[in-house]
Amino acid sequence: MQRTAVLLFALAAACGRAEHTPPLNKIPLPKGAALKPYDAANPGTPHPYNMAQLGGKVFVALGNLRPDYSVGGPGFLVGVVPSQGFTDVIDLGGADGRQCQNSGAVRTDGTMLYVTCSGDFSSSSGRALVEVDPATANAPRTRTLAGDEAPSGLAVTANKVWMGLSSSASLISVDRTTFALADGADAAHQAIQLECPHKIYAYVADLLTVGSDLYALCSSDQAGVIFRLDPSTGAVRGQADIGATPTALAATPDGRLAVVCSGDNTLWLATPGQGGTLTARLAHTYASGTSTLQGVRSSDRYIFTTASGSNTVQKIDVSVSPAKVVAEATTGAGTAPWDLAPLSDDEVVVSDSLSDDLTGLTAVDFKTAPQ
Amino acid sequence: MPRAFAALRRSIRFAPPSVIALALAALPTRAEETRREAAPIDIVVQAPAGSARAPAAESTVVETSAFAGEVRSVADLLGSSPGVSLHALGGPGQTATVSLRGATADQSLVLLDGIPLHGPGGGAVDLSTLPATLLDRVVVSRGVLGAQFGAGALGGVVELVPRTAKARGAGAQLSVGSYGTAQLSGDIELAGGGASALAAAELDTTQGDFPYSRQLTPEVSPDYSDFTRENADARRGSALVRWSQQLGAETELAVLLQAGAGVHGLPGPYTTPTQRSRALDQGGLLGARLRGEAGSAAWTVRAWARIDRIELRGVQVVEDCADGDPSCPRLSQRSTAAHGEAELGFPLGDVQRLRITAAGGEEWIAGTSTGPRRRGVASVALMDDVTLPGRVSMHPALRAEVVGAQVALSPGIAAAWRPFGEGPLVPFELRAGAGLSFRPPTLTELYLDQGIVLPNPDLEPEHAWSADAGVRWHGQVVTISAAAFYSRYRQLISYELSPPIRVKPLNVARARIAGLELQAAVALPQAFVAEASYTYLDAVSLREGNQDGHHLSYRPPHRLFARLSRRGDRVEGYGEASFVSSMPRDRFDSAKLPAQLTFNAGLGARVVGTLWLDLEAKNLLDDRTHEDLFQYPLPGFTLAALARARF
Repeated sequence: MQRTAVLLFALAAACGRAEHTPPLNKIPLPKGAALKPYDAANPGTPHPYNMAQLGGKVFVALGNLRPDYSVGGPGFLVGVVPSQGFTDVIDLGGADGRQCQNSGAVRTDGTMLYVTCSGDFSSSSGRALVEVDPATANAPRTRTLAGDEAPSGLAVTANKVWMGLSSSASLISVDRTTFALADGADAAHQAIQLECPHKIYAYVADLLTVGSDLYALCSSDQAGVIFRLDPSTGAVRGQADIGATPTALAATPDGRLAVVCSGDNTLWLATPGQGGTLTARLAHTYASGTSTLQGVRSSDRYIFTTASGSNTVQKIDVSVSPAKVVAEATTGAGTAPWDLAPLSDDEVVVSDSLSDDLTGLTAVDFKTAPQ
Repeated sequence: MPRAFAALRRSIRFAPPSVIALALAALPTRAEETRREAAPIDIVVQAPAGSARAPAAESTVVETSAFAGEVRSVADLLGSSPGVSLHALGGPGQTATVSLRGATADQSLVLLDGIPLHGPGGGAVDLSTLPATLLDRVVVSRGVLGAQFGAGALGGVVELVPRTAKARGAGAQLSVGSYGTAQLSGDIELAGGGASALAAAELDTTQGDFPYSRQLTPEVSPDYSDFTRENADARRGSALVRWSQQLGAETELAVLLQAGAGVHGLPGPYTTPTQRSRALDQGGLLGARLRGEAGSAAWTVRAWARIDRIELRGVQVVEDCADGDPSCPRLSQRSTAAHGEAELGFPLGDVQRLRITAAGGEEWIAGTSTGPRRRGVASVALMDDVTLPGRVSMHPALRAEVVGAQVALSPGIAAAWRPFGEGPLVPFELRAGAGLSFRPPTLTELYLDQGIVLPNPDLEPEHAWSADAGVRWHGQVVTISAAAFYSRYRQLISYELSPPIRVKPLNVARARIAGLELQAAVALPQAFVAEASYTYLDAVSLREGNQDGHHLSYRPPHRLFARLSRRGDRVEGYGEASFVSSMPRDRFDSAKLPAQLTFNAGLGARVVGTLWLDLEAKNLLDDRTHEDLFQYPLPGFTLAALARARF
């Protein structure tokens, strides 16, 4: 009886460890020849950007860029088991290795993964949307985009994959069935234009589907605006002004939208209301030592944000007003954390855009705020 | 991708600033000298007059001799003047810039003996490349002074006046200090037979490996962690030769040669250190001036040429790279300029003296990121000094200028009134001035293509106008000045996103800047001098959109400087305090650079003959949290020992 109890306890403990195996502190990403450089003498480095979680793995899009930010090879999507390291290296470049370059944003519908490729900034090549099957680690479908349609964020809805453009405050979409361009395909199916005040530039920084709504961030030289849209048609249901240079948004644990704005170092919370309305309020102004907010994601209870200029990750309780940073971690000088994937309320995996690896942070890495 | 833009734009600002060269010029014109003698004594006790080119402008004169026994960079010399903002990317040998009255460093002219210095491609001057020991004094004139000095003088002008041979003799100075910092300078002066000559040289070296402290988790913890700065070493050599020869009773030829070369690490911001990035620069300037008098008229003909070269190694857009790798090419840039100028000054009746100046030249740039470029420059200026009854003087000026394809007029006027001709209130003076001018886009802004940074050949000049007024008291013991100014800027050049991720300079911003400047100096018994200055600055963006109404970044609203010094026959010393208030770090008033309070002190004695030994300590509070532009740390406590002698 006693031996049985011990065995049960050991089994329970083992199972517990399996469920809560912490992420590696540093998770190396493929480099060198693994990134299939166009010029072996001038290769790119991973430049990990956005991440998505699916099936116990974290999938991170690799820009594969040279130090001068030109493309060094095809875009990649890498599957990572946080406690072990990378397991899948998925070439998104297609047959010629150039159909997808500078991959950046990635979202999932729960089964498939979708990756945007922004292309080479100095040419019009490599802009695309790629569908990835994580089960086979293949990219079965690629939708090549026009040279002036460099995509930024994307969101997956029931029928379409929406993409924001980095050259204008416009949304285009790809039909999920045919993988053909839908909105933005031609004059009869024009791109959705967001009314975002600007004089010089405006672009869509990020997109997200929450419930039956599609949300889009517009950033311009004059304003930051969050839009609430119909996910089928792209029709605007509501909008609200937010901070300067919004960069990313996430659904909060309580059903609101959290937006980080790198221009004025702020966190905003947007609340969807009845009839498609949307209101937003300033939730937190970050400390002056925190700079260049890049990513925001939610765990069960908190939101986490990244600041690439200060190499920090914040854990924030948005259930209180104003929102409170309850803990913070550093990823180290020269890392420039970009996006993150919360594994729990205490563990996240961070993409380090400059040091070209992933960082795993656990409770011991987070310094808690004084009560 | 757009999300990258914010980080990239920030990183572009981190990009190592290119290098500058020193310039040289010939001696002041006869007319200038005449006016200098007549001009009022400026704010610094027993200092020579303010700027000869801009009489009645708000100005401060800093004599380098007042800082004997102290390790002073050009930036340090400027720190005592009101209206000045100094920024540095680290300690000794690292890039330092000056801006006046809230203008950018690009919008403030720096002249060496009247010749405008520029950064590579026409940008801001790196003061760290200018050897302070080769200077006689620095004159800071504030306001829109394009009519008097030419394009680019929107915030004001810093005139560096190099040393001249005053008597036969020689001198040397050696200083050794913290973090492997050392300086050796020497000079020799010759005179006789209607000729005089000065040769001076300065060698500087520093390891720059100072400790600093930073908050790793600024949201939750006030605790600081300690680090040591790396790749912040610098070495520099500078030389100056001045020679003048009297050619006749009324004619003099003067020649000036200035040259320098340096190498320094580019350490990067503390958040993104760049340990493999280096900068090498070389530069020089040769100028000659012939001047003479004909009756009551004075004439000057001057020519100069300047060449500067910079090479960046291991430098990329955001991070460093391994010099020699195929993906890490060396970036080089060479700028050259040649210029000629003629000036005629003559009286018009009993109350006016008119000066007419015509100048022209060419500037070239050639580099891996710009290609070869050139543009011509020409100007005609008319400056009048009018003496009116009642101790009123007026100084209208008008300059027509061509820079490349851009043409602009710069009018300006200044006036001074001494209400009292006799009695105890004679030192009291009222003054006012106004000006309108422009800054042409630099060749860098027009043509520099660094991949993510795009050029814009269609850029227009920036324009500004300002008006100021003030009062002065110029007594034998006490000098006090107070001035207020208001200025408006339009078509300001700002680097903006050019989708998808590149940035491009555009004429999009507007601003208003107002301020208050106070300065006082008192000559105390026992050879003590007390001085203080205060600057209030209110720099506000008028750009349409979400920046409207926010303060411009990196303009401190309050800046206070106080100093007590003694220059005796046997003992010398000083103590000073500098306070710079918290200032915005972004365009939205949401991130601040913390306030900085610094105390410095020094003490020295003449131990034998002309040999002086001094000990100097800076940042006495050892505050290692100081930082400046773009998260570059500044040194904490530093100590230096100096020995100097004249023979």
